[in-house]
Amino acid sequence: MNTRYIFGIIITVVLLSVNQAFIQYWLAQKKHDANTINIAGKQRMLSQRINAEFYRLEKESASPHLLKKLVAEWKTSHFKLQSKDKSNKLVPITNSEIRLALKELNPNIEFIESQLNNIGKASLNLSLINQNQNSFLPKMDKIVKSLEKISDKKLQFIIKTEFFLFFMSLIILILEVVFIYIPIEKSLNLANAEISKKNEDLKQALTSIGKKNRELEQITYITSHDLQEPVRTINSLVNIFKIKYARDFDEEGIKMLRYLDTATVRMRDLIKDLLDYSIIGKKREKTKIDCAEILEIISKDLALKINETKAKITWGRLPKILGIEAEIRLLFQNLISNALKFQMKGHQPKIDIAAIEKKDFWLFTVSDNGIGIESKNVEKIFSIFHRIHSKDKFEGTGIGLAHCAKVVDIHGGAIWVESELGKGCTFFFTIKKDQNKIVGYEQQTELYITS
Amino acid sequence: MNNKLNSILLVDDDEATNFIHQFVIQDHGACKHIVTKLDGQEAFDYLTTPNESGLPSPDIIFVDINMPKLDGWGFLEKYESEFGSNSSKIIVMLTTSLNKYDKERAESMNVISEFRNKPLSPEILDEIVEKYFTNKHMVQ
Repeated sequence: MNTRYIFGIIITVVLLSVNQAFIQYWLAQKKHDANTINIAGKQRMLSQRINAEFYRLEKESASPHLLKKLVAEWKTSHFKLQSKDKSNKLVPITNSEIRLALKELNPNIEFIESQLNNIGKASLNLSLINQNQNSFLPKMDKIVKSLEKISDKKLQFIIKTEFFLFFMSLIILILEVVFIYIPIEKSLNLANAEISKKNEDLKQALTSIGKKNRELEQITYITSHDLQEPVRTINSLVNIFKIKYARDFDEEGIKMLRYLDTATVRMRDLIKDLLDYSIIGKKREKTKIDCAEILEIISKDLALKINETKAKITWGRLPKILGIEAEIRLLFQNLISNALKFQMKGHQPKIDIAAIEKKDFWLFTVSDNGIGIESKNVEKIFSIFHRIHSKDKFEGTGIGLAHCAKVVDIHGGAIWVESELGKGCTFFFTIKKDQNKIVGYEQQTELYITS
Repeated sequence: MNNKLNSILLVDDDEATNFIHQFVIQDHGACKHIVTKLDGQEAFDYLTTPNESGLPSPDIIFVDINMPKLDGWGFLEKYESEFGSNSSKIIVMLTTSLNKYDKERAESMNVISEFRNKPLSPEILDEIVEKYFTNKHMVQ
């Protein structure tokens, strides 16, 4: 289809070029013709003037200067007309009759030339000169008429050919429209229809993915919610067991009880985190949040850990943003807790929070001087329950950054980290300014589950 | 701690939960006499069936929401129509639900004194005894 389209364009361009070249060529020809006719016409006038000049000289016996000039011009032009040299801007006369007629006039020119040489030597034979010029005139007239006739024929030819070319162009254009452009348009319409159908399919797929996603979220919520109860029961029973029977156990039994206890506590924490994760974004009310205020609150909440590690948390001017307050708070809290947690023992944590205004969003950075993250792990850390350290080295369930990613997502932003192992890391996240323009998270009714 | 309370009624369909709550109460020492029922209907029948010393009258009733036969809400409705909303008994709704609808519903019912999350802990018991039974005990 593409080649046909190009072919059509090429034909059109060729047609236009041929037309233009033809017109230009014949216009040039016409110009030269006109020039030739003009010179031929002028020869008649010159012959008259030469005749008159001879009469004047006879009467007044003045200088033959003007006459010489006129004859020279007359002669030059005469031979110019017969010449085949293109450099004199004349189209060489190819018509043999005209050439012959011009040649027949050569003696007339030669006669006048000889008369001009006789001036001052012998008396002029004016009647012979008159006769000579009179015979020249009608012959030259005939030549001019023949030239004009040829030129007219050329014009007729140009007009006819132009008409022919015009009709040819018209036919070719019509053929192009019928055989190239109409089929192209048809196939384009077809392709368009196909594209809109595919778009529709995609939209449907997206809707169904969204639906499936919400179902999954619901399953996560329900499962984690329902798992809480049996886990709590086990947890309580282990506690009762410890209180009531631990003294009757031997060392191994106590060890086992302790493992049971740690395992159930961990299970409880994981389920609680999973539940919290599935609840993110369920409360939809977005309000104006003062980030600095949020950081003040978090600093108070984390006071124990901050005092213990002598951590320094700093921030400059921070904006007021639109968002779900509880979740923005969770986001900052998780990032700051991580920065406090992932430190070498005895090292003073330094954390700085900053924000830069961009066109459509705010770019926040949370930088620390902690242990950093290996480059191969910078993406993994945002997936749910992903841990890169052993439990005994750094405690936690591994859901904190997944929380952050979900919160940022709900606020139409992105989160990423830049880090070098051992040199701390900087978390970047964006929050969209216009929270109404976020796609993909439609209003959701709160899950209704009773105990 | 002295036995400030005569008896407590636990209503929960999960036997393990009843067992744990029973243990917590006994260990806490607030009350020696504990009765457990597995659903709302059983609990209502217990409260409306007289024994040798008349109708049983527990000081506190801990009620779960989700139960077979008659759930927590159903039990409370029946209780309210039988004994009125100004019963001297302290009714505590115990739940795992963090659901705000449940909480709002519980708060709108006069008959419910407290809405607490499971599990029942010595701290919760302390608070309830402190709030509802300290003055009463002193008057007695």
